[in-house]
Amino acid sequence: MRPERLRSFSKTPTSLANRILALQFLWALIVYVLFIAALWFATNIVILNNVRHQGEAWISRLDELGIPVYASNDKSQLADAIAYARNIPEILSVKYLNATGSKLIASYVRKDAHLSTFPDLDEDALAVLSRTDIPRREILFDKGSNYQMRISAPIWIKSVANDGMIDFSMKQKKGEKIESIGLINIVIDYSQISNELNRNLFYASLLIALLMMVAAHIGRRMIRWALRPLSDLEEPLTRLANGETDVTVRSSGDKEIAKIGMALNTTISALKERDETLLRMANQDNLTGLANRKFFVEQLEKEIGRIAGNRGSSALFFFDLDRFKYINDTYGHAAGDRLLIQIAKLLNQRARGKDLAARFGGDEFTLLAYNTDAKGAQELAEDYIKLMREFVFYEAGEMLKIHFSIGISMVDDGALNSHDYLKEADSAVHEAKSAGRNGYRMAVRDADSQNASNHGWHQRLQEVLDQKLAIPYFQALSNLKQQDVSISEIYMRIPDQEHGVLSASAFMPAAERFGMMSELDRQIITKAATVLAEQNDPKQILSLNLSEQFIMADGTPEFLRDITKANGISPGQFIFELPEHQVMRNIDRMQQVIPILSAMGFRFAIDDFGAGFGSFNYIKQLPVHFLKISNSLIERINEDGIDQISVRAIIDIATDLKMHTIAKFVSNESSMAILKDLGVDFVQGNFIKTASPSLKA
Amino acid sequence: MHRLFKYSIVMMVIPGCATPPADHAQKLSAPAIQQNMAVETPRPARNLPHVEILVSENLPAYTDVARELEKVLGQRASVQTLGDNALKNQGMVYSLKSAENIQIISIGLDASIAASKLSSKQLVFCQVFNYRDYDLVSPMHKGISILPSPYQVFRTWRHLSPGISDIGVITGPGFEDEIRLASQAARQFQITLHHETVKSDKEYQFAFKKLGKKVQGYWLLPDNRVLSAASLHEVMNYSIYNSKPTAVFSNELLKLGGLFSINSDPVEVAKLVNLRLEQAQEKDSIPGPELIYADKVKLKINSVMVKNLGLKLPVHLRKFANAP
Repeated sequence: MRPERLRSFSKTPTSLANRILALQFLWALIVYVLFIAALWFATNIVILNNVRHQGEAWISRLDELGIPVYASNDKSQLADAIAYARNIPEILSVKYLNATGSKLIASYVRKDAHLSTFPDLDEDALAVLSRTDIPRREILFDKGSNYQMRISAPIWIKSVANDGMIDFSMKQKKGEKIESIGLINIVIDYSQISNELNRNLFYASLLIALLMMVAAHIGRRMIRWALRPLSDLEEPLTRLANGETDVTVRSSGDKEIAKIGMALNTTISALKERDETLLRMANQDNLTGLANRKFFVEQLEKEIGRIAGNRGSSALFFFDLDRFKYINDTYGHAAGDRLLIQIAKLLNQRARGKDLAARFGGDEFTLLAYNTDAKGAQELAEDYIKLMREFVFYEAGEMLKIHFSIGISMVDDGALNSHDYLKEADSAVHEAKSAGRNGYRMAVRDADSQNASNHGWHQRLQEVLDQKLAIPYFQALSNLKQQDVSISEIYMRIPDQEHGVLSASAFMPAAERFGMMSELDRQIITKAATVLAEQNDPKQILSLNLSEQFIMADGTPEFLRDITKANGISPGQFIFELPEHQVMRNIDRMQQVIPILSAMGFRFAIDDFGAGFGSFNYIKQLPVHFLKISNSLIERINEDGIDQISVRAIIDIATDLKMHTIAKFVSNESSMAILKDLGVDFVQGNFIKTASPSLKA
Repeated sequence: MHRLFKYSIVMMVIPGCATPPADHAQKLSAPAIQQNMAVETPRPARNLPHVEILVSENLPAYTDVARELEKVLGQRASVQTLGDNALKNQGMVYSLKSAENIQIISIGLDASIAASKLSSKQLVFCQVFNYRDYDLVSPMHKGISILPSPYQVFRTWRHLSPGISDIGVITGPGFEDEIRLASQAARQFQITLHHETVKSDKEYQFAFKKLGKKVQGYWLLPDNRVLSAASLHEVMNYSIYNSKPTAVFSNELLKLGGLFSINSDPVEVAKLVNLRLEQAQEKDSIPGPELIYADKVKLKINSVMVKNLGLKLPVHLRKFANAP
């Protein structure tokens, strides 16, 4: 997790200050380019306008100077005009034409001038130029290549009205006559003006760029200064991003930054609390508050590592409650839970300060007593035995004596691993159990004969997993309502040299201890799916118990989906049985997984329904399809009227909720008849059919 | 010459006589003309003709003359002013064709052009500069010059600018005789008149500036054919910038920098018109030269320009000076 966090954090390319600076620079660059473009555009317009104005002035003057050529054919009359034009380097040529523009009267072309080619004035242009009914003569401008422009204008002469002189007034031009006697056009070259202005523009743009760079530099320093409080947050936030929660953010200074700092500190506190809670949840058993199996094994490995380096010894205690199943079945799971809680308190009561007590699974507890030798371990075990002898469990008004057996393995060899020590302690506790209740046994590491006879559950189960040796046994259910389906329950068996096969009760506690139940369930489900595929009968349904570890494991829904898909069977051909106490312990996970699987088509049955008080509550919370009535209500149903009433009530509820009911452990004809009368859908038991390795046997 | 000078000064305030353009050598002498005018008294009229006065426009320079003529002629005269409607004007002239025992006076160019169609009627035109382009002169049609007596003009020049020796004058074509007469008058005051003939206002400007190298002053004549408001503005500006004193034909031009304006006196013009009509009574044509000049003038001097040009205003001319 940490490297991922670091990686994601290191992806941040630049700081906020740099981004603002980059945007500022980009903005300034855009403004600069636009400004220079606008300046260039405006300058060119100004140049053109100035050239036009200047050209108008020049053409007016040349108009006046050239007028004599219209009064005579003497070309020398153009001398004044030529002298004038020669003194103005921009003027490349001057032409005097007749009024229609068809005849050249006189002209001047500057020596070595390279004139652009201008088209002749067209009819429209001539018509415009020949107009005299307007207050001001029209002047036409033609832009050529190489910064050249042709300016054309009519030559007007005016005269005062016949009777206009006697009382002449400058204000009244009434009756003034205008006549166009010719055309004049000049070609001017404004490249020098343009080049000059463009050069100045270039220098101006350089100056502006320099000023903008200075401004950007100052702006950069100002932004950095302004954003410094924000930059100061970077270091604590980096540490926070790296997973550290022991971080404090400065919450003083600017109002906005202070608020951010306070908010971050609040968030960090909440994260701290959440981490602690998660850690606690990850390492603790929810029911008893003791360490859970995972955490215990981790600590055991740590201790082994410490001992490997420093020598010394610690003791691993394995506690197994002797009458827990009886309490559970008789007084309900709630009572069983209460017992477990009291046992946990008992363990903690005697444990020394650093000793680690854990609920290892079901009714099994472990204790790691640090820095103790065999003698100290024995003393501690005797103390626990004494405590248990004095311990009385009160339930339903009864005083119940509870016993447990203790197996002890001395952790004093760094070459062994946690599994080895747990296996030793497990063997020792079974030995203690075999010797009678409320006793303890120290594991004897060189007792090869004993280990060999037991062959070690761990090794055996590992072989089962590795070689896929789990065997499904099928027990068909009797269909009391003649429904068009066939249901069989699968029981898991493993091979045994002595007995042929071993039932689940023999190996399941060990499998649960060693965390192998999930894999065993997967193996048996895979085999069941294969059987269903071979049967190719959609009405054939198999039900089986799912272990707590299978439900809790990641990827369970995906596994079930894949296995049904791979075998071409319907998820509806599976009914998964969940014991009521298992549901109760893991209700959160159940509520998460079961709806997903149900949506996929798998069906669920609550096993041992009616054994506890919470049963009715669970069927409201989970999508359940079958209720498997607790055997405690079935065993004596032909004798006990209350059991009959209870079963009827369960059947009524199931009917209302459109669920099916299954009664197990049916042991005789009369019980079956009663159950049929009560409306049970399916019954099962050895009386009806025993389990066999073949589905159709 | 001295005597002549003295007489001319007197003539500025009393009615003078006209000088015909032809036979200038003999008729240029003002006293001689005056004498001629004085001895040639009209015969008593048995049945005095009706006089129709046609006026181009309602301009003071025209109406002042018409009013003087009405005073002189009394009930014999009637005045008609031409309007903008050309057809109506033609109708008005046509109605005069059949009139018997009638003499015509036309004041202004348009009225004179219109009246020129009445070739069988005795006509005296006045306040017209360009009479040659329209062939206004014939044995039955004679005129009074719009120009003031050249003698009076150059005498004023000499008094205002004693050092002046060359003066430029520009006209359209057809005024060689008048210019020759004016040159003679100028010579009497040791002034050389430089004349340029142009065809347009642009040429006028060009010639004006070109003359600037030769002359110390200009005399602007009211030739509407070659003058425009713009060219007048331009040449007046030129004359100011180049400190060239300019005699102008309109008081309006004094505002543009003219040194003095000099025009015929309307009263004098009216008297000369009446005189020519009386001389023509019971004759087949109008006797005398094509054009006669009024000796009595209206003078106005721009005191600002006098000062700007560094001139000294003689005492006897101060009454004519004011700032425009």
